[in-house]
Amino acid sequence: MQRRHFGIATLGLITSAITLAGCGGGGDKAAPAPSGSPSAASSTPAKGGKMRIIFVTNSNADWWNAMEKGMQDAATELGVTAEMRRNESQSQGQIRLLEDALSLEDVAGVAVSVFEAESPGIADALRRLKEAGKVVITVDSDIAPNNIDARRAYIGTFNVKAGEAAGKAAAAIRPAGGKTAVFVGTAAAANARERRDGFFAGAGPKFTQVEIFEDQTDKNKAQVNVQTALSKYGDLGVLVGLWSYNAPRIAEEVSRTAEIRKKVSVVTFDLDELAVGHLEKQNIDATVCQNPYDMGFQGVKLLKALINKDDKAVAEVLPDGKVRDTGVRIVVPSKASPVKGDNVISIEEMKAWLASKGLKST
Amino acid sequence: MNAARISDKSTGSRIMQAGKAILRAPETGLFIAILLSLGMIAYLDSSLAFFSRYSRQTLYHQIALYGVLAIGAAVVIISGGIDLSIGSVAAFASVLSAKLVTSWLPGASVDASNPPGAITVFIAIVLTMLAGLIIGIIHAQVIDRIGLPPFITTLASMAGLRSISTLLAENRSINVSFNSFRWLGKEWQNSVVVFAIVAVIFSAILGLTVIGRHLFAMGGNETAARLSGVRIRRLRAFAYGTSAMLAALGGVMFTGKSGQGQSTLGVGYELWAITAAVVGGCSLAGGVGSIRGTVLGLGLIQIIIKGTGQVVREFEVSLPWIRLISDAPWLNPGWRTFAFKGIDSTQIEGLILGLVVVLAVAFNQRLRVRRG
Repeated sequence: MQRRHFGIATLGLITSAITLAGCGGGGDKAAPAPSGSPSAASSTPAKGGKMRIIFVTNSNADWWNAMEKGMQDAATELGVTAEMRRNESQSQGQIRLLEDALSLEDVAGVAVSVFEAESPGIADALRRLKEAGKVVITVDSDIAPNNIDARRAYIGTFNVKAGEAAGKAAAAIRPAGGKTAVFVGTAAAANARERRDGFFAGAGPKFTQVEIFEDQTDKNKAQVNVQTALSKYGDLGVLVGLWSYNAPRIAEEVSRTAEIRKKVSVVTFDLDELAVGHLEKQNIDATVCQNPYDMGFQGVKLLKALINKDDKAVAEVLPDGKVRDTGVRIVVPSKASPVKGDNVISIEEMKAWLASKGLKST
Repeated sequence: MNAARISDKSTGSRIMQAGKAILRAPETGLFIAILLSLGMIAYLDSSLAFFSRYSRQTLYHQIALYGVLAIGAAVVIISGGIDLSIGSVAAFASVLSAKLVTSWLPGASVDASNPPGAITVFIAIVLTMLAGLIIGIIHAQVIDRIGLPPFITTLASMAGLRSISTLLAENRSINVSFNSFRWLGKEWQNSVVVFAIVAVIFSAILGLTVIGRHLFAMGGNETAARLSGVRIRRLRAFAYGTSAMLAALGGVMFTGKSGQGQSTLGVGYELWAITAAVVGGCSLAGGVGSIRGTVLGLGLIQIIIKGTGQVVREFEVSLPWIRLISDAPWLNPGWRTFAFKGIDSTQIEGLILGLVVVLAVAFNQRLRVRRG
């Protein structure tokens, strides 16, 4: 009896697997191109003759939605097919996604946000893509200088500069400085290290780090870390959220009592959708925003130009032929904020810009 | 006079017996461990910030959120099974409930200024818990009818439900910022009340009802229980249904806390739940354990994690004996600058938790062996 049930279940599973595989997109031609082989020297266009481009992320945070929107807007404007494949915050996962892209013959260009700049595995996967005739660029997070040959160009923000901007904002908000707690998913990640170093370089010696709290992208843990920091360091002055989801978790905790909010300053990075309301309510003093929409848009534009060997279009995106800095904006609750500068905008102005692009966050 | 003496003697012996019973209770060791941990934290952190009102509230909140998951895990473990899908069911519930209140149900809304009504929220929570219950019953059916081991069945769900959640959520978080939905998980008092109700209900079911006794019998020796007329299939459906339904409730509460429905919620939470149950005295072989032990086990774990965060400071570990050794004249001067520099509490809490789990489970096992 049990054997019969087992047989039925096995048959059901096999049928489901075949059905799912059949549904898996007609454009995916599973034809691995061995690196360096003559047949891998070029990529054939996707069905309907449209050029196919893939973006590989380094995590699946909401931050990528803005890049996806920019990517799709550019794809529509330029008549190409662009798709985003999201990694689950692991080097191995990103390598697998890059290998998948290698096996898709009709993919002509790949943009990747490198999970670990120093990872030899990721660098090797990028080189194999390049050898297979696909154009490879990095966006948002670049590969380490010793592996720079693995990609053609980089589009993104220099995280050290973004960190410096955040540090200068903190110094403007809190001229006396203070003890600083830093919150992040993984402190060892390249963007986390660079932002943290940039922050303390920009903020100056009056700001001292008391501790880095890691949460491994668990948002409940991220909030618990803020609670721990607030109860552990009674004289805490500044809370810095290095990754986008840290911002609402910090803001929610510090806004619980007016007493805590008065004592501490909050500086974060990027603009999570939940952080918008907290900026309006002044629970966050300043947030340094990258421009993922522009990274997505320019990424598609550059890949198309490189694939078509259109030097004029390439020069438009890459003035120096190698790198495009999409810059940062510092968003503050209102114009009354002590943070001043050409790249400082109020949350109202930011919301208007987001609405113009059909976005809710960056 | 004699009668009074006899009465005094019997009262005295009753008190002695009660005292012995308390000392022999499996939870006594946990209670002592909790007191020792609190004492250690108080000794190492002279500011006593761990015991501040705010800190205590956050501790209760954490215990309540994980506690709902741990009770479900304990019921399954007592019945002789294991549920590895708890974290994924919580993620599925997180996404499902968020979808229901923001787009799928009549009256659903994403607009915080025009939030869905209480009835919509109530229906969403009930449907989510019902979905959890169905998932649990499916687990039991697969185990009983196909004969797959519980480990494999729930392992498959762990992977499959995470995938379904990602598909439903379209790979992004679903914001549910309105308080009408968040109240279960946002404020610590509400979470603690929900947890207390769940703990009392399942403690009563396990301790006072026939179902409870049968669950212990089934966990202890399934074949013997079956031959004694215990309806194994129904009991298994109850155990796995409870676990998945409570995981779904936990998912709703965690979603309330973060304000976002996420397919990435709860990665590894099944391990927290199982660890709490095991530290609390549940035997992975089945047939042994209690809800009050699980609650104490979870309390110990959370106190240690929070305490570690509170006590460990960067560049220094406040352990006096380390200072003592490093100041000793016979010590190599190079060693006096102890290599505990640069550590953060979040980096070593796993190590400390691991040590405590080993000690607690070893202690429980020794106690069990002594009792025969």
